[in-house]
Amino acid sequence: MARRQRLQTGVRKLMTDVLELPKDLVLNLPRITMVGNIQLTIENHRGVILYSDRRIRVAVSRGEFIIEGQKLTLRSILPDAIIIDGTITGISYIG
Amino acid sequence: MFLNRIFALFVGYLIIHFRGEWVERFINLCLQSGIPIWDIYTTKNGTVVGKTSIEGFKQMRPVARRSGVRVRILKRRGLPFILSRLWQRTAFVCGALLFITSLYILGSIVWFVEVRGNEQVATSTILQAAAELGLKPGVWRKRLIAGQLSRSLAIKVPELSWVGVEVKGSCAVIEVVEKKIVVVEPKPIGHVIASKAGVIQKIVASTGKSMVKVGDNVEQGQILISGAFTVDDDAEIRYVHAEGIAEASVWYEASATSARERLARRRTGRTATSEVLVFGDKEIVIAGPQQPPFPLYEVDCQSLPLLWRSLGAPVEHMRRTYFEVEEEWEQVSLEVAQAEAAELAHALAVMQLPSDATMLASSFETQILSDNNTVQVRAIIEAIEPIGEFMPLIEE
Repeated sequence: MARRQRLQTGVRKLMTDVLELPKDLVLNLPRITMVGNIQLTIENHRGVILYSDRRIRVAVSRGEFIIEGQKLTLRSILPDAIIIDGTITGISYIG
Repeated sequence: MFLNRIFALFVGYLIIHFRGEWVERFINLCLQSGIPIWDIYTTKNGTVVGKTSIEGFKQMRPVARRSGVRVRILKRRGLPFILSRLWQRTAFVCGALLFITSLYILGSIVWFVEVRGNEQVATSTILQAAAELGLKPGVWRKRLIAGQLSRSLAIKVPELSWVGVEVKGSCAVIEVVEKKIVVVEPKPIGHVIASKAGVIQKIVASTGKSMVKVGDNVEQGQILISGAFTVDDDAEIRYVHAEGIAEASVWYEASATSARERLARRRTGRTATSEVLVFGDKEIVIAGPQQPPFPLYEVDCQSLPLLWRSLGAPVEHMRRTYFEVEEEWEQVSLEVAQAEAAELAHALAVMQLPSDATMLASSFETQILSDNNTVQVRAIIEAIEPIGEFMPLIEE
């Protein structure tokens, strides 16, 4: 099962490399957009793991994002995107 | 995003307060159940606050119970809540409505009536006429039909030739143009009399009765067209302002003389020129003779303006040319003398003609006077001219 999934991912990765298709759509990966350090949009998320005004953890398809900053607010939460406002000081990805 | 917020304002939203261990779990569950939730932030004392719709709040209860989060409404925002609050303040709403309606009603009433353009007719006369037709302060604007009103106002006030009514806001402006009334004075009764003696050539009476015929000899002051006459057998005398055309032949004469032997002047051909500078009334001769060099002379003065850049100098330059003349007796023929005298006499006679006269014929009478030297010519001009002159008949 795991082997098959790995094979599938390999094929898809190859396809995106060869055909230059957007990787986030084909590989079902999160896409992060930042506006300076005041706004951050995460598309293709899997929910919020932790929320406080200093640290937000957002689950994605293979791992999670940790966003650190001050006065962080969840401006909007939609099934496919999260918009975070505030002063962002750090982003890390844990795979 | 922005539109969503505007929409939320219209349908109303709630600011809620989450308290519990698993706020994240609650948020995820909301996401999965499709409950809208936004603007989540942490307050200073550590509680999490968010916004949701009214519908979403109702759906939130089972989710909250499952995640062990207690939800409390902090504030209600949006139009439905504002309206419900307004509904409780009936007096305020009534006042606002009353204000708006009274503003509308006051705005649709004509408060002022103004008259423009009248000079002779008094403003109060026009205002009174307008009030009788229904245009006065306090009437409804919608009741006024400007076109109809201006027409009937022009009929009602006969001194006005044009009336324009215009309603500008709460002020009605009546613009008028006055008639220019020409006062016709009754013409005085009287006759048309002859201003000169002559022979009538044309007589047409437009009013009155003509008393003379074409070819009649009239004296000065004779009645040509009578203003007091009787018609047929009617004994009653009718008095009118006599009027008509009366033209007559009038003769003008003048005489002039001319001598056959006379002193004639002739230029000898000798000339002298002097250049003179004139300052006001002083003269300085700068070239040529100071005094006329000939005993008998004719002089020709020519003024030469001294100009410097279109500025006239106060000094005038004059050139005087003297021509020497000599006199001698000469004898002209009878015909020449006669022609000269005739020309002069004719010119003198023409000068007597009034401007409205037409010259018909002229004749000359020549007479050689007893000294056998002088010719006298009399010019007689026949002219046709209007001689009618009105003379008022003074009644008792």
